[in-house]
Amino acid sequence: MNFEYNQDQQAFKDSVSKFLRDQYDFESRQAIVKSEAAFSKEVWQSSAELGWLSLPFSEEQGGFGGSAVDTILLFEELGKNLLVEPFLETLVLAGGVLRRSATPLANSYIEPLIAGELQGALAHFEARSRGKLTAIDAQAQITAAGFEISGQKSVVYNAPSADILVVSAIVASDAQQAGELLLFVIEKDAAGLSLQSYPTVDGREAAEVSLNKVQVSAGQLLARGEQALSILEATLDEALLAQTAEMVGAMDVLLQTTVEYSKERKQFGVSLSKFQVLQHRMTEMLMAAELSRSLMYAAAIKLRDATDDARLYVAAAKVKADKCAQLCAQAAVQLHGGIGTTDELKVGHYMKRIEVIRQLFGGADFHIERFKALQKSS
Amino acid sequence: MDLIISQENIDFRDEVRAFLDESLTAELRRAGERKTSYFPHVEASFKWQKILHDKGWLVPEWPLEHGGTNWTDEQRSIFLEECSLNNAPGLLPMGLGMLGPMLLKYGTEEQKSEILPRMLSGEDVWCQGYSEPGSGSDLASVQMRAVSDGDSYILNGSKIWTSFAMDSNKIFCLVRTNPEVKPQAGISFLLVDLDSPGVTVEPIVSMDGEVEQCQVFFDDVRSPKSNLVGAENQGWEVAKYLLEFERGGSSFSVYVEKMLASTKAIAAETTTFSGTSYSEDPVFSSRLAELEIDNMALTFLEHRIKATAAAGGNPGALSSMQKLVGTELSQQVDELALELRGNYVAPLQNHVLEPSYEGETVGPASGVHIMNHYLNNRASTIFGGTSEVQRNIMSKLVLGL
Repeated sequence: MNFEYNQDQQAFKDSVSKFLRDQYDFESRQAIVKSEAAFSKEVWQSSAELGWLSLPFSEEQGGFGGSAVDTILLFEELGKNLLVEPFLETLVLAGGVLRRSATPLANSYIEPLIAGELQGALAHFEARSRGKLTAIDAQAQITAAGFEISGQKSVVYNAPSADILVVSAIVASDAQQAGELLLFVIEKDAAGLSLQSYPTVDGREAAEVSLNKVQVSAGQLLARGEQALSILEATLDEALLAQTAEMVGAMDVLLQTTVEYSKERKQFGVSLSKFQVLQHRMTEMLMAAELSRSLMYAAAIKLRDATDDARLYVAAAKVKADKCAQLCAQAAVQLHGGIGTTDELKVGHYMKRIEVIRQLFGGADFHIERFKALQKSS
Repeated sequence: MDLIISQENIDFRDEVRAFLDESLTAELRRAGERKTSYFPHVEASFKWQKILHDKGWLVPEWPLEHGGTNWTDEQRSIFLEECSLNNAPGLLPMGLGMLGPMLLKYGTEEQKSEILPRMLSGEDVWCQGYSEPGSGSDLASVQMRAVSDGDSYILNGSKIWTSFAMDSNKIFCLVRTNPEVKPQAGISFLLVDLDSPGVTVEPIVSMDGEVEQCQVFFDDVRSPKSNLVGAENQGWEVAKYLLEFERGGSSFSVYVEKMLASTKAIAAETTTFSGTSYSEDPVFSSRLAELEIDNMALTFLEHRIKATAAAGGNPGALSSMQKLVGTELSQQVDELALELRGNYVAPLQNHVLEPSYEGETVGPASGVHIMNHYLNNRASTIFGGTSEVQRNIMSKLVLGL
């Protein structure tokens, strides 16, 4: 077994890390969050120039041909620096469905995406889904020209900035293929598509997406039935792994910041770092981060190698990181004391991002149930 | 031993309920329902204070001549419980719950007659100046100086984590009047007018984006010596009494009970992806039940503490246990509630938490406070002595370690 990145991967990781260290300290991040724009266009453009946006796409699609291991490498660094730029939404979610379906229309969006000129979002989950991929109600009626879609999608991150939305729907009950899952790509200015946009607690933008008899052509269909489901599954697995990596990166920073603070801050005449109970709590944080990282590596390797148990490992890694990241965030706030509860310090912002990640695509209980189901079926 | 509730108390509960039904407007109830903090929504709390004051129920535990009610301990518990479960907005505790009882014990007759009526009427709003940037849980290390100058003190230094200083006009402070002696022996308890020249109040934004805390700066601020409570350099005894009040005086189980009731109600109307309600979900309902059992234990711990106090005993370090268990339990309820809120933890919509807001919410209206409550409530195991400090107190005072 070997858990080292290869030379190219390490060089890439170093370059991502250096760029973010130079360009994305916490103050810059807060300035971006407080600005009118949803995120920094400059950072997005730089990430395109540095090749980050080509990472998961195949060489035929103009990409770098990276694997799940490259995904965790990038997202660990994004998580450390708490980036608000929509890498998960554009690159992993919308980009993930586009590259896996590879229809002519899908492929036509990939080049501008890699160039940093196109933003995307995945409008799949609905208020009742709670992480379950098949729990959706949006309907597609079959029309002479293609389809007519109606439904409501919930908490769609990056929808306000997106040029295209990847939208799912179920074939309406009166048609021949009733109940079949369909995936479409829809430009955001399509008639009948409307957004209720809002800022999010983790410094980004999202929207409730309404589809009211949106007309789409047959060419906008990306996949249907079993193929659509397996594309969604693979895309969500990659997204869950990316979220896991973000949490692992966040845990490293929370631990490091807390250890530093405990050495500086004095109470009862001594540094906090001298209190055994606090030393032990920081050791718990260390263990949380390292256990999560270990399972994340295993899941990434299995996903890259497409092993039979890859999905099981992704579910396990997400569950472990969910629990561990919450532990780290809570310990970091507690050990910082009053100052840890303020908007000024970064630990609270990590806490908010972690809590959003924990809930966005189904909570820990849901993924534990999924893990159990995957165990039974393997 | 008995757990009997008398007919008299059953009638009393009905009387309280009838009063609450009549006096809690929809807006006041919303303030209670969407409360994201241990503290109330300030404007709603002022309205509620006036209603209670008019009724004569504002400070049930005070002596009758100062506005109390002569209720029994059980009746006071019933009142607090009914207020909480009926989503009454709550009251700011610094004056009515902390300084008031303290003055009744340590204040001069003049201080009582001058300060207490203005506190009850809401004319004066008090905040607590204990913590300083360098002294959090280590309260004996306060540095803010009070230097004697004729009939007054001249104050320099700053206080931090001063809850609602921006809505207050008065502050009670621990100040250092003698730096030469051991830390506890050189502290005095002083009342200061926040409108005095040289006072600056700066709000601190919390991670949920709201402002409850402030830092208060004192730059050559003058305060008369008649504003001392207790003697000069005797402030530590007064402060300790107040801290015990802060930790033990309020009922944490009632607070947790309300959180549990609200979580249960939301669980009943929220469904898992398969369409069953969370109340029926075996995993979720077991986790909720476990927290309910924990809170039942806390409830009776608190009953025992009150019974001890009523019999003239000193519950001592049990108030640390109550604060520690109550706040940690409330945080566990918060965590469970996040699971119910699901992906709707994400929208930032602090404006809908205003009691006057009647418009649409993103995601179900019934749980809009959940994420903010979770974030805000992380402070509860820090303020009033951290959980770590409470454990130290118990190991020292109870276990003798």
